[in-house]
Amino acid sequence: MSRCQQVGRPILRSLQQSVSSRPCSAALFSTTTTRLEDVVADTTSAASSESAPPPPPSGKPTDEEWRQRRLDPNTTTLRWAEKKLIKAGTPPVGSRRRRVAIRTSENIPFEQLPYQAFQEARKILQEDRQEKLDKIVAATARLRFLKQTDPKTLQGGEAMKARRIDSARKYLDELKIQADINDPLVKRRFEDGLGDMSKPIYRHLADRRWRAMDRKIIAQRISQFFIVPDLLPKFEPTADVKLFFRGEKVSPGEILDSRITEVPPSLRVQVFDKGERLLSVAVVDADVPNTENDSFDRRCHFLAANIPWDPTKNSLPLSRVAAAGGDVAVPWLPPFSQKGAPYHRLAIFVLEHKERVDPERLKKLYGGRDGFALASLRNATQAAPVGFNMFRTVWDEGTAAVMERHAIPGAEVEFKREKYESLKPHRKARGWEAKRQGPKYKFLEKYTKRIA
Amino acid sequence: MQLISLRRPMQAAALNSCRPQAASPAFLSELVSLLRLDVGHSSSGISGRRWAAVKSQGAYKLKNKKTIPKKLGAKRTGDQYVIPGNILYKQRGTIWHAGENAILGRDHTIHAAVAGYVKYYRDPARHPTRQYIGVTFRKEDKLPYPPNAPRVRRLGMVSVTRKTEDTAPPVLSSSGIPLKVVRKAVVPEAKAAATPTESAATPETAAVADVKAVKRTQRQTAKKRKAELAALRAAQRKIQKETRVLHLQSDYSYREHNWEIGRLVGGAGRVQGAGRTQSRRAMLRVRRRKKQIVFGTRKAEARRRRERRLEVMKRAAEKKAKKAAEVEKMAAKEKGKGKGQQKTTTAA
Repeated sequence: MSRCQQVGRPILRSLQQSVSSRPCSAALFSTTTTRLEDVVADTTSAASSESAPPPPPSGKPTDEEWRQRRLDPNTTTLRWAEKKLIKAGTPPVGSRRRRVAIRTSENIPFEQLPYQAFQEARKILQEDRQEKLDKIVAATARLRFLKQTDPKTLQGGEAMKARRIDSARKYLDELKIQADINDPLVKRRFEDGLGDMSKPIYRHLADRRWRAMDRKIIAQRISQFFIVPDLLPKFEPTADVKLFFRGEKVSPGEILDSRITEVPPSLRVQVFDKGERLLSVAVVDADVPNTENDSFDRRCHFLAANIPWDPTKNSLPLSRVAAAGGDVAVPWLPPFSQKGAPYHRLAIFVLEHKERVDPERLKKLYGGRDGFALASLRNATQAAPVGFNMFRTVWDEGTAAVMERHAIPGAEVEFKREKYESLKPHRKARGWEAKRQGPKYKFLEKYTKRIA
Repeated sequence: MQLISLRRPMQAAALNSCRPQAASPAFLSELVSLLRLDVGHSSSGISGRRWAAVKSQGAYKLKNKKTIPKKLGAKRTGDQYVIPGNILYKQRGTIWHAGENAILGRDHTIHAAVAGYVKYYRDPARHPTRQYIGVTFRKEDKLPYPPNAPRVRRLGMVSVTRKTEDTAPPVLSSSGIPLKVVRKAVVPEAKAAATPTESAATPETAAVADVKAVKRTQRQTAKKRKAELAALRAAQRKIQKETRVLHLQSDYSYREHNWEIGRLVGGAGRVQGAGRTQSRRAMLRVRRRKKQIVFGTRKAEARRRRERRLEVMKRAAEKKAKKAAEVEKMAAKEKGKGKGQQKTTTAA
């Protein structure tokens, strides 16, 4: 036994005793009850993780009990259990390595870990947090004071007051983030995917993670596929939109099989600013070939509005928009591309608006689908585009069947490249072969029939 | 140029004038000669003497006939109509850059990518000093286009009716012999014919007491069925592996495709001798080789995954259709039955 272990042992033992003496029925069968509890106690939205391992009813065989224990999302490493948990909607927490560590380690609550440096560091962090909390109290008081001030006493009047209130609020939000940003428990909960998105710190962390890579990819797609000049004059995405077709994630810009895109996709929409708002979702095909005026048109493939949303919500299947409280103005039309036509860009825009939009009006405006313009929608509904994702379609072996199934005309059309006449004047054929084309040289046909 | 050539003589003159020296007629003439413009022919003409031969007259104007002329420069002027592929500018390096609807060739030649009108322009938003050659669809358009406007695009395609390929691939070659011959695998009869046992349903008459026994038999049947299924699958794999498809060659012989012969060694990405290695170094070498082989198979892997997904979808659709058909059938049957009953009742 090493020296430090010798030192730490009595502390450990006392801690273990105090832990095990806690009145907790679950401690009888789970080795990680304290951790589980502490997770649950810290988060307000962890009801799902609490309900994940249902307590085994007494009187069942031990086999069943063992099974239940293996279905603990905090500790399980078994493949079948992981699969089952994912299906149940309570995916296993963290990495498998971590789950093994939790299962095999002693049950010491995180904040009571017996390392001196750790405890000293925690003390510093707590002091810092206290400082920030004091500042928050002061900032809140100032905000209240600002709200009560008479704008006539200020030099800038009403506008000045509004600006001051805004800046004070911004400062307060920043302080709220700063108070929690160094908390290791917060960090752990966020990394486990247990962060409560109604709290500013988790929203801040999620936003940072999104901006680290995913947003960059989306921004690249927006510029490289010319979404910005073609569909919108300018656009900066602020919400994370992930795209899933038939339960599989699709990377932005991927060319998808028309049979896969026959059903509406499901979106994961994560907004990072607080508060309730209404969302609209528009799916636009930006490359509909138009042979009449030799150009490209746009077409609306889906339009839904009035979907109530907040940062705690995440999943938005487009096939169940009505269940989420929204209105479908234009139902899903499977994306298709005619043979020979260049690839179609299907842009999925998530827009944000404050007031409800009349779905009937949208139906009247965009029910025809053709010639849909996002700018027009933006003007009609006062909605601002916040999120974006996209995929592409080309003609494939399933497209004809898809078009037939959905009674879409145009499957028999094929596009061919336009031919251009040479600008040079026609020149008579020259050379040995050209000279011997006449009936006089019939016997030489073997040599003269191929002439360029 | 004249000023530059003058500079040196002027300097020299100035230096000389600064020197404390008595002015002499010889020195003055020297000074004048220094100040004179040094432009070849005029200076020789002034002296009134010709030393060179008559042949040299104007020789400096003649080009070296030993080099092939490269014929660089603009081939199309501004606003001229061009069609795709037309050469707009030939150059060494990028004196001009390819702009809107133009393509930069391998030797920096600029071609038109669309049919339209040539425009020579600058675009400070793209690059402060570069000059571009572009092509617009309309003659009156100006380049560059405004920055946030939608791109001006043209379809450049004509629609024709799509040909549907219904013709089956030929079975016989033009000389009347089959294009391919299948040599089937020889499989032991009993094992190949094995089908999974149909049902392990619980007997309805089971008493509550022997539920345990029933469960045990169920488990056993399940195990048995699993084993049978595994055997069946193994047999299928064997058939798949040992069936040979021989294709007709140009010399009227039959043989397998090269890739099929290669597959005899193992699946794609399989490296011989990679199973067991003597040393760590050998292991690393094999891994390196494997990596090289695996390189480029990622796309194939994605394709395979996609196909698998499609397969699953297809199967689900088939199942659904089958179910629907069954339900319909049942409904029809019931209807028929109802009719029959009605008939009987009427008869009664």
